[in-house]
Amino acid sequence: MNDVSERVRKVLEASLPQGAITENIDDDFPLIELGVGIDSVARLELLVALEQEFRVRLDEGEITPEFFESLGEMSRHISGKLGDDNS
Amino acid sequence: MLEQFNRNGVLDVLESEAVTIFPAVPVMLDALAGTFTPEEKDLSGLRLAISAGAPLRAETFRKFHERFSIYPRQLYGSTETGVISINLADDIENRAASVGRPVNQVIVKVFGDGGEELETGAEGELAVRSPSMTRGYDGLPEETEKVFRNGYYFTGDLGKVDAEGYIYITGRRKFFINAGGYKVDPAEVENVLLNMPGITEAAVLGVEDKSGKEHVKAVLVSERPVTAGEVAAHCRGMLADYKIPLAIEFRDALPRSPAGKVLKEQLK
Repeated sequence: MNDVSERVRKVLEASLPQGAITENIDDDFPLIELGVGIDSVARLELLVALEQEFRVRLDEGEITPEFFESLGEMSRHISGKLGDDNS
Repeated sequence: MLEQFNRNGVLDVLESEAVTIFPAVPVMLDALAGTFTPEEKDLSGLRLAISAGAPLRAETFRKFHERFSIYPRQLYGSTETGVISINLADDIENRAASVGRPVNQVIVKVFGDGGEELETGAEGELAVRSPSMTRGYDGLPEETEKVFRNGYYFTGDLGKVDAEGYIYITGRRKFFINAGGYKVDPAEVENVLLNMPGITEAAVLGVEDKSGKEHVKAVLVSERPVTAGEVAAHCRGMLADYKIPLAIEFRDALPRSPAGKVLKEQLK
């Protein structure tokens, strides 16, 4: 895992209900298994937490359902944002 | 007009239109306070930020003020009565936890378990009399009789009223899960889960995450291997998204009392 995905993982773990089993989460783990992306309020809270971690704008209007499918998807999107901001 | 809640869209409108009154649920206030914006938003036109639908956490109260220089104020209401109270206290920093005083022509009283009216400051069930309240639930005489008594609507909320008339809500008598301001009836979710092939027992309860927010959790007994993803897929389309369990746990059996009642406290 690279630095971005490790930071995403930490934010994600903090957003999950207590007792959620997180040791199997790698870049490709289907996060639907942990209920990620189902609940609109939880989606919103996760986006806010990721924004605060990375200081990038993750607007609800541009985030697709695929974003919530895996750690890898989230990390790729955020890495792209960080690249845009640095360019 | 915004078709749905979108943090940046809301902040843009609040700023560009110099909106003066903004009602929201706490999860929205929390999200707005944490939203990253390259430049700070000017919400100086805002005179009243209202928080309703769920308890306002102290952290959200503080964060929203730190970000936008205005304290959110709690409003209390119900479908059955309309608006009950709003906190317009001058010393809002000291009364943040209160849902305020009753609005004009609304009376709030506190009753004990035996149906007796309690003294100022004592904790019991909050009951409301309002000119805008309904007389009951259409076609549900038993439900109506339970909660509409002697001209009052018994809210199911536990709380107290202080000497200045400020109302504080301390809990719920009715067992609903409060998922981000949405009320979830565990029985409805359990019924959907029990219709899933292979599931033989289901218990649904509210569990708090590390920040104290409540989520829907399901504890299931299955007679064949079932994944959490399959459970979520089964629920989709049958339940609103906020009702779908975010935490799913499988057990060999549910803990029960000698009378057969599921001991949900042991499942948290």
